[in-house]
Formats: sequence, C-alpha cells, structure tokens
Amino acid sequence: MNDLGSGTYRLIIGTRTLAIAAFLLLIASPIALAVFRLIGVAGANPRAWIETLDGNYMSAGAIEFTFLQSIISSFATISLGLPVAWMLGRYEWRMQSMIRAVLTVPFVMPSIIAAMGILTLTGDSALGIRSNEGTWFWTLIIAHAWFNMSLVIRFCEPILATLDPSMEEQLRLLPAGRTISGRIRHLWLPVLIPPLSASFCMSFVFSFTSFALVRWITIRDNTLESVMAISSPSAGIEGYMAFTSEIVLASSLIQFAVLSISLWLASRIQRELQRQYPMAPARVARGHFDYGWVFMAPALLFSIAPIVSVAIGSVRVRTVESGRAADTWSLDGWELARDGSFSMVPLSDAMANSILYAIISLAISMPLGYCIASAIHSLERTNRRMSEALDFATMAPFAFSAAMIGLGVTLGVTKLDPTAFSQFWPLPALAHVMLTTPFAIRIMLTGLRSIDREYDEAARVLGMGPLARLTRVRIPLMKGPITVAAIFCLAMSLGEFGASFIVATNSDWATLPLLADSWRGMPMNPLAEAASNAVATALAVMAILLFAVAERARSNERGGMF
Amino acid sequence: MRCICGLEEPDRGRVYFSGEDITDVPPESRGIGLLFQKPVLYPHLSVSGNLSLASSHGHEDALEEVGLQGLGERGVSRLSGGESQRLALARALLSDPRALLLDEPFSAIDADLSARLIDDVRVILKHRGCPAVLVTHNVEEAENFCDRILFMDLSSP
Repeated sequence: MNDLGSGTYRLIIGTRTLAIAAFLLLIASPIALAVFRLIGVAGANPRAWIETLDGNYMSAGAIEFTFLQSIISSFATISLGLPVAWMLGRYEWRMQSMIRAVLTVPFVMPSIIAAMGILTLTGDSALGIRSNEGTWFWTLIIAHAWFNMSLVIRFCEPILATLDPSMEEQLRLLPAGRTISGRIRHLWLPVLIPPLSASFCMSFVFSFTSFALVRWITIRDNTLESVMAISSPSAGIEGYMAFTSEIVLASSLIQFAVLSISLWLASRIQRELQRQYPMAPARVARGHFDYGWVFMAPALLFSIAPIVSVAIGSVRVRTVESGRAADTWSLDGWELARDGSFSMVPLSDAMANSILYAIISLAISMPLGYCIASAIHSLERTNRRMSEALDFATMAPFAFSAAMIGLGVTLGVTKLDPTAFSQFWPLPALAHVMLTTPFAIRIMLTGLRSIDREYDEAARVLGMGPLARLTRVRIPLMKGPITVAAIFCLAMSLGEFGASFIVATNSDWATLPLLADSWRGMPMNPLAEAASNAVATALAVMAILLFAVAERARSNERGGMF
Repeated sequence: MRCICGLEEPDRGRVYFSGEDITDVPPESRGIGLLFQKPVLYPHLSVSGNLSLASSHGHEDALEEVGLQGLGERGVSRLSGGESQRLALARALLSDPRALLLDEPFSAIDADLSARLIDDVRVILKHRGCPAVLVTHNVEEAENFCDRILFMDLSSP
C-alpha cells in the first residue's frame, strides 16, 4: 500500500514540518535576536570589535591564550588517551567493562565537578601547588586532558578491540609487515588516524569553549568563553559600556569561525579517511599483558581522583589559626549546603531546579529531536540536497558556545519581554533545550541510519501503516539510541554551567552547578569549600547514576556519540 | 594451518619445513603465505597499494597472472568476491613464499567462479613450483586442486 495521500502520512509530514519550525524558533531566533541587539549597541564593524577585544584590559591576550591552551590540551589528551585506549582495546582485562566505564566517566562529569575536583587535588590539603602561578597553566592542560581523555578512548578503543585479527595476521606474513614499524605504518596508522583526528578536533572544541575550568584554575588568564561570560552582564545595554558588546561580538565571531572549521574538519576527516575495516566475526581472543596494570592502574587513578577528591573535600573542613592549617572531618559542609544561607539557596532547592530543568529539556528535546532526525532520515532517500541542508542546520548550534547560547536567551528573550528575565522561571531550561536538542538529533539520526531498511520494508509488505511501523518497528528498534539520547539530555542539562551562569546566576533559579560555583566563591567562610564540594558530590552521584543507565543501554557499536 | 604459518603456537608437537624446525620462528620470518577464507584486503589502499605490501615492483605482472590486469588503481571496495580473492592470491604470490596455505579460500564465492578460480590457482602454483596446502570441506574441490589428499575424520576412534 502506498502511504502517499493517507491521513496518517499527512499527519507525519505536518508534525515534522512543525518540529523543524519549532527548532528554528527555539534555537535560531534567540541567537539572532541577541546578535542584532549587540550589533545595535556596538555597531556593525567586525574589525573594531576584534580591536576592542585585543586591546581592552578585560580581554587582552584572550585570543592567544585560548588557541594556545586548546592546542596543547588536545595534544596532551591524545598523548594520555591513546596508550590507554591501546591497552584497553588490545589486551584482556578482568572487569573490562567496569574499567572502560571508569576511564570514560570523566567526560560525563559536569565541568564544575572537574573544576572543584582539580582545585581540591591541587589545593593545600593535597598536592599544594595552587598558590604557585607557574603551575596554573599546566594544571588547566591536565584538567582538560582528564576531561577529554575518554573521547580518545571512546573513538579509538572499539576499533582496536573489534578489528578482524586477520588484518594484522595477514600483514605479518607479508614483507611490508614483518617489522613492528611496518605494521604501524601500513595498518595501525591508517586505522587510527580518523578516530584520532576526530578526537583531536573534538578535544580542541571542548578546550576552546572551556569555561568552568578556566574560571577556577587559571584565574588571571581568560579564554574567549570566559571573557564572554564576564562581559555579559553589561553587554547589549544601549549607551552603557558599549565595549563589552564589542568584546562579546568579537569573541562569538571568532568562536563561531573556529568551531565551525573544527567541526567541519572533524566530519570531513571522518568521511574521507574512514574505511569500513572488517570486524572480527566473533569475540576476539586478546592477549594478556603481564605488567599491564603498571599502566592501567595510574590511568584509573587519574580518572577517579578528582571525583573522589570532591567527595573527600565535602567532609573535610580546613581552618587556619595563627598561620597553621588544620583539617577536621565533619558533615558541617553538607549541613551548610542543605540549609543554605542568606545568599545561597538550600541544596534541595537547587536539586529540584536542576531536575525540573532537566525534565523540561528532556520533554522538549526528545520529541523535537526524534521528529527532526526522522525528517532528515527520510529526506536522505527522497531529496538528498534538502536532507544535507537540514542536517547542516541542525549541526550549526554546535558552533555556538554555551556562553553565547546563554546570551542568546538573556538578550533575545528580554528583547521580546524584559520582565521574562526575572519572572519566567523556565528560562534556564530554554538554554538547556538549545544545547541538548542538537545532541538528541545526532544520536537518534545515527540510530535511525543503523536500522536496516529491510525491517521497514518487511513491515510494509505485512500491511503495517506508518503509525504501526513507528510504534511496533522503529521505536522498539531504536530503544538503545533513544535511551542514550534521553540520558544524555538529562545529564547535559543537570551539569550545564556556561549558559546557566549567564541566565540564572544571582537568581532564585540556581541549579546545582551554579550553587557549587557560588559556594566556592566565598573564601571567607571556612565551611564554603566543603559546602561547594558537597553540592558537587550530589551532582556527581546523579551523573554517575545516569551514566550507569546509559552504559547499559549503549549498543555495542564502534565509537561514535556518547 | 595457523600453527604451520606461526600465527598460533601448537599445544604439543613441532612444526618442520624442509627438515628445519620452524616452531619457534615468528610468522613473519617463516616465508609461508596464507590465503584466508575471506580475502583480507586493506580498504585504505588501492589494488596496487595492497600489492605493494608484498613487493614494490612487479605489480602489473602479478595482476596479469591472476587475470586482474589494468585494475591497479581501483579501490578494493569496488572488487567483486572473485576479484578480491584473486588479488589476495596475487599479493601472496608476489611475496614469493616458500609455501602457500589456502584456508578454504573458495568457499565464500559462487560455484561457477570457484571452479574457474581453482583451475587458475592450480595452474599458477604449478607454474611457479610453489607447494601449497588447501583446507576444504568440499571433496570435489580437493580432487580438482590437489595432487595428494589427506582426509581428517574426527569421528574415527
């Protein structure tokens, strides 16, 4: 039966069109409104914006610093991640899946937890290098490598673990593969360059837009992202500190260009170099490495150290009397976080806000993401050019940083209705939706593409209509990607910091990351650090629980999205 | 077969080749070629690129020997099943092995093509004087290809 012309078919087309319109309205329009407002204040002269960015005391050196730390962070990430991915993929380990989960958990940790964890680790009670300015830069690099190492593992380990062993065996029997260097040159490099390049680009993007880590670790040096966040309170106001609008415009322009190029490069490298290497027909019998734990144990320790230090820091209170520091162990930090203070909301309020915003993000991002992913997928068969255009449009938000999205919401919405900024409580959720929807689309689109077309065709010849095929074939087959996308939306929203910092800081709508940040910013209170760590611990527990569910749902595929 | 070419260590016994104990010789130094059941071709390399793993010269002759002349620049993903197996054979022969092991290389291709390929491979190996061991479940295939046949019947006591 041909679906064309049926009422259900028209309903599906209508829903998809509506979803695309909603996507443009929700995601493109706030950014566009914010940009127009900033240009209205600063004028339309990009050269002047960049000169102000480079010359102003608030932002001088930010461009160089952003590029330098991103490049070094990306190299450090690859240097740390590749040996770990190799060890994990090529050798047999006891509790392999547990090790993989522990090694990749940093990436799903909210950046504020990474910041709090690294601060505690480098603080006086641990490594004691916080007071030395010379160590700030390298601490940031290590922090970024910690955060992004799991990208390299996720991209490289599956192909190392599942590559058909006959590829290497055959090479060993040929003259060009008789030496280790020959096998590296002719097999491992071609196999690993695409996932390594993709993880380098992604690592560069995440380091380039890093905010929480830069805000807390380097203090004096700013990235473009932190410059935008600092400048945002006064940006976009007619006749008031117009240079901040110029700084924001210049920063977002550079970020947009660099992120677009990086993401384009990552996808091009993947497309051009990725070959379909044969997978092992059955589970590969991998070798044992007698001294493997000498490498693996430090990697595992490195992965969990910041998270554990946050938990330990939540029950340790440091007091300084007569120049001597003393640690006491108590739940006072937790109690302070639980009760809140004059300027801080209680932990339960922040948790309720975070969960509520996460649920709103989920409720909007998932159906929207599914409809748009379905539209792109079906257009791929009927109108290739249109599907590519839509695919590109849904990826465009990746080129905006969280700070720009926060500004989009703040400036864009207040332009429509100034009272909304203080009265419309779901406002932070709008920023979260803007960030989570593109991810939901990518994950579900990958899932839809992986479904064999014959499944749908077999259902058709059985007489199933579009709705029956959706509910009885597609959605059950998509259970894994849908669950992963849902968990990802929840986790992203719960841990979101950059956009929330601009939209909801100093409001009653504080989320857990904002509360952790605010407590950390009260150095005179001896319990503040413990309270901050207590909030971060609560957030880490939620992230780990979500991660555990996602790990169970994640299909056993090669690399790809989280 | 994997023990003969050194990819696996035997649980017991030794492997001798021309009277020489090669049990502890690594597979890359034994000079024994292997054709896998499914041809193992490297998708990042062209036909010629795959041959270059065996030798940097003589590609055209090798391709001509297996009937793939003129396909040097073609990507391996564009080869048919029979062409892929011919290329794997050309590559194995180009490395000038002392012996060639064939692990059911004709089982994954259709009957007509496999019959032609068996004849071709036999002629090529005979012409080169290269000893070969073929493992197969197909008696007819073994009879067409081999000078000597050894039956392995695990059901016998």
